[in-house]
Amino acid sequence: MEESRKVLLETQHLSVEFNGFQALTDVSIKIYSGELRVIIGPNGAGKTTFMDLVTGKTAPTSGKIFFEGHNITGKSTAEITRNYRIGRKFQGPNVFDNMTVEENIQIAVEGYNSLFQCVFFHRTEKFRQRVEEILKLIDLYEYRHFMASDLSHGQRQWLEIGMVVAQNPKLIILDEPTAGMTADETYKTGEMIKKLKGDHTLIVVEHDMDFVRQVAEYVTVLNYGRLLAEGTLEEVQNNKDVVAVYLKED
Amino acid sequence: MHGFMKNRKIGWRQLPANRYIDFCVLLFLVIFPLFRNTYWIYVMTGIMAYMIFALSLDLLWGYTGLMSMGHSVLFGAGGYMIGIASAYANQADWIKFDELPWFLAPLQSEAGAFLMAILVPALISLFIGFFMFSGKIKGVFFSLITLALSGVAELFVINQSDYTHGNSGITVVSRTVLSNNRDDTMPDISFYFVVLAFLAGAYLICSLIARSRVGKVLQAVRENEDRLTFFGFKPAAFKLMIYTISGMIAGVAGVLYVRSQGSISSSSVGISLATLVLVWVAVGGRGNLTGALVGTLVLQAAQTQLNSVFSGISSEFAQYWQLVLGIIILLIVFLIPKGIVGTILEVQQKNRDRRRKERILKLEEESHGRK
Repeated sequence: MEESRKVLLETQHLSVEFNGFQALTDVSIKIYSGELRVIIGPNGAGKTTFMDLVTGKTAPTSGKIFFEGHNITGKSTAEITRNYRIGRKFQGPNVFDNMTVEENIQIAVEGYNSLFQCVFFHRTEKFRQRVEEILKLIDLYEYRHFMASDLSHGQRQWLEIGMVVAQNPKLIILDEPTAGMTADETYKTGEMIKKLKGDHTLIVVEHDMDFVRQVAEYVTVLNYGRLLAEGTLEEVQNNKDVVAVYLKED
Repeated sequence: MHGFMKNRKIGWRQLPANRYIDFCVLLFLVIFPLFRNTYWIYVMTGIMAYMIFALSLDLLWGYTGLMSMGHSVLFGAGGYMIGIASAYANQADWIKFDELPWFLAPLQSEAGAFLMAILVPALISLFIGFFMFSGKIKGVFFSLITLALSGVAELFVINQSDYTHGNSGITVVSRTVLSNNRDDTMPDISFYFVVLAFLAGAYLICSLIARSRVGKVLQAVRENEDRLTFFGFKPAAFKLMIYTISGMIAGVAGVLYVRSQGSISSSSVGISLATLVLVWVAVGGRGNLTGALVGTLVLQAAQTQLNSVFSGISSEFAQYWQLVLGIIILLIVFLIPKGIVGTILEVQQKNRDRRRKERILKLEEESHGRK
């Protein structure tokens, strides 16, 4: 990856320990603006812990996290979401069940969330178009009047991706977006994520290797809380260490 | 692909089922006086005031998920303002004070009393809501604190007998909107339509709030408050606002109830009315306004009817109507937890989603076939 590109997120020597268990050790990663980074690794490799650190859910034992040059180490989740605009999709769909798909997206659209803005809200053409654009992106335009609870599991996952995108974050973190999806749905999710690349910077944590092959250009491999390898998918796949621990099962 | 969505006209069939029920309720209330005697008109006027009260609770409980078990405090606060104002204006014989204290001074004017009946409940809910919502009290703890509040309020009203006439309650000039002069009392039928107009106004205000962006955010608070925080909302501000608005509407309901019945007593601020309104909303169905109307109308009318039927059988039998009503309520809550209107709306939505899905799948198949 060329060094001239702007670094969006940088972690320096990040370590975290839970009651004597070393979950992450000395992880230094740079994520560039506009890229789509896939983080892979076997169970317990520290992928979700890494996400928790970046979004402020957990504080690191040592090391630093920089977002656009600002030190965000140890800041609260709310502050990181609001001030630094990092959007995260958690594992498992987390949507507003008894509301329609359209209403779910409308709630999430950025820039209309203070009490004042809501009281004096009127549906502008810009707002309507933004909602429509997101509904089409997540392929739920035809389903916009459905109750979120009446959607399939995969569609609910897309709905939450759409809600995160509607916030217009600088960095989108997707934690296992294809969990529980059929092969068809997984493929569609991959195409969706590729469309987001460029406008947004994305970090995707994934298990499904077919999905990784579909979307990945640059991959970070974690193993036992350490950075094992980094590079293009091809480089990583030919890396002896990686083959030994992870890709062998494939 | 999107063609069929554009071509479909939004006709009357597209309306949610509760719009028809709203219309039927309105029609029923408009023609009701033609068929019933003065006693029933008097009863129904009280029920309509209760319907406004139920609407205010539905905004809070049905839409925002805040189950207030002490909503009667706000209803009673409105009612007692009118009660004290009327007693003072007519110098009721039990009054032991010459001058109203400064904070009740606006009650000397008729318009002032009406404003106080809205403002005092609003201030009570603002004050309580501020501490509860900024302290992140939610769920069952909110319910318990509001429940305790209604118990305390009932005792407070009984103890402040200098102003409230204690257990005996206050007799109020009835069937007027503002006036405390007995000569201004309207005929029953006129006051019936005044309350009906207030009910229609309250319903319009509530449905405007419910359809607005604020209303959607409130529903999101009910569905998943934590997720909403991740979208950068501050739920406490929204909850405080709706609690205050709900308090104001409850206050107006209290005023109209007191004016229709001609009296107010401590039971109107207490736990019994607070639970009663929860039952009306639960039976009718939460979160669609219509349910609050239907639940109140059906249960209160049934109560009056059963009471007279059972009393007609024999005087010993008279008390058993409550048992019958209790069993009916239990059955409804047990069999259809979403309430009468809630269940109708759910069935309609599920059917629509199923038909939409079939249509979408058929279109997708056709477009695959063409490839």
